[in-house]
Amino acid sequence: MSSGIVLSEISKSFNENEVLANFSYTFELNNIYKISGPNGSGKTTLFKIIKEIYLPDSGTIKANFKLTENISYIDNNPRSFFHRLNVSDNLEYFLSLNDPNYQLSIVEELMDFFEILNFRKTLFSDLSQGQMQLISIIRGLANKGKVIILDESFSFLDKNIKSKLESFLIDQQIKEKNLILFCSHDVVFSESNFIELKL
Amino acid sequence: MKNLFIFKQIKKDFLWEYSYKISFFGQFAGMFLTLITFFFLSKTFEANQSIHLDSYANNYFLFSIIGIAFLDHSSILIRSLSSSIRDAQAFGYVDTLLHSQRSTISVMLCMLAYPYIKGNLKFVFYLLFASLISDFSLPLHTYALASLILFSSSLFFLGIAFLSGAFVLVYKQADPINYLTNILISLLSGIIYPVSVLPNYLQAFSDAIPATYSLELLRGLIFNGYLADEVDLDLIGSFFITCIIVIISLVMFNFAINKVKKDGSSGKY
Repeated sequence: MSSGIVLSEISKSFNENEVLANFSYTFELNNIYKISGPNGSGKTTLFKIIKEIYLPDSGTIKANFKLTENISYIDNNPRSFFHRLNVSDNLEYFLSLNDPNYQLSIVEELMDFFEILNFRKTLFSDLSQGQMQLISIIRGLANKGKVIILDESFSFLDKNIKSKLESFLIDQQIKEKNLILFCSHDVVFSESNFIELKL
Repeated sequence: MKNLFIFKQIKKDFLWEYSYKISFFGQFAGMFLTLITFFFLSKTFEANQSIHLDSYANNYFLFSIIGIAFLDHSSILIRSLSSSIRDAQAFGYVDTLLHSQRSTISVMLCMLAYPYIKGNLKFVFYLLFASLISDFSLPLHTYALASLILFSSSLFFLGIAFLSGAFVLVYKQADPINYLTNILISLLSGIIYPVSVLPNYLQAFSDAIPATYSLELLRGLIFNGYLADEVDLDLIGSFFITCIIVIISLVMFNFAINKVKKDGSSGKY
């Protein structure tokens, strides 16, 4: 069996709108995949089915690891935090929710890497959209899952942070043999770094 | 130990509520206003003895305050889960709550911890403030035993909270379970008037609500100073109803999670 995620004959419709029809693909660990396609082609639906947020109408997903525990899903909603709490309290809460054996030091290392450690005690509502998105990315990366999904997560990020994130993800893929899935309408990664899958 | 999720949840809920300072302290001012209103209301009837209040030393003030404190405690618990889910839908972190590495039910139970503590503390504050206004004092062990009764009654409200949460998960704004339970308890469980004033056919409904027994036990404890054993038989029936509610609510909650996974509506609001 593949070391990654095997999707077989996945179909998903919302009301009368068929978003995925008999979709089959195998995502291997230690690879970066770009899922591309026009708006409404089913990129987010595919990610959410892999994360088990949505149940497919038919088809199967197989992996030789537990999907729920090993997928970090980072979306493009920078508002999905407690705005009246500071950054540190937010991250500690979500980290503790996602990982019973969490280590706060991981968050601090990531904040340091992305040069926002001095925002630890800043109220979430006082951050810019880009900083909020970066905190959302740190929340996802801190989970240390085998699979990292970035669903339009590069939006709002400046050039410098975007390139830091790219190098961090490539490093993760090489060192930890992570499977990285992303979709983005921005230009990210050089084409030699990823396998493109068109929906 | 300090890494336990329940502590992080309690800390987060407290910080969140405390960040709205006027609302946080305003609820205590609201309690005081309620106490004073019922104090003067009870003064109005003080000279008239009522056979319905015989078992409660004809002290309408204390009778009603116990009822109101109990209703406050139960309301906090019942609406907490649905309002937390509603917030999570609106801010966009509902999927993070429902799809973490922890079981969803255990996450939801942790989300009930702060409201439970808050409801308990408010109950104690009601009695303490009432004792300042009126001429009575309660021994410390009465507060401890009252907390025990509140704890046992919480199982029923926990079931209702899960039912209410399931409703909000699927139907978003609608929360009729919370509304109906509050109406039923307020009308039939003897919150501000004794159950004995109700017509017989309504008393039968009242007997079917576990909150009625919890309230009767609390009043027995506070007025007599001990836990009455003549209500033991009723408690078995009450416990049975509570178990049914809890089982139904957990089944419904799981059904709601599956439904939003199927129709992809968990994050919609």
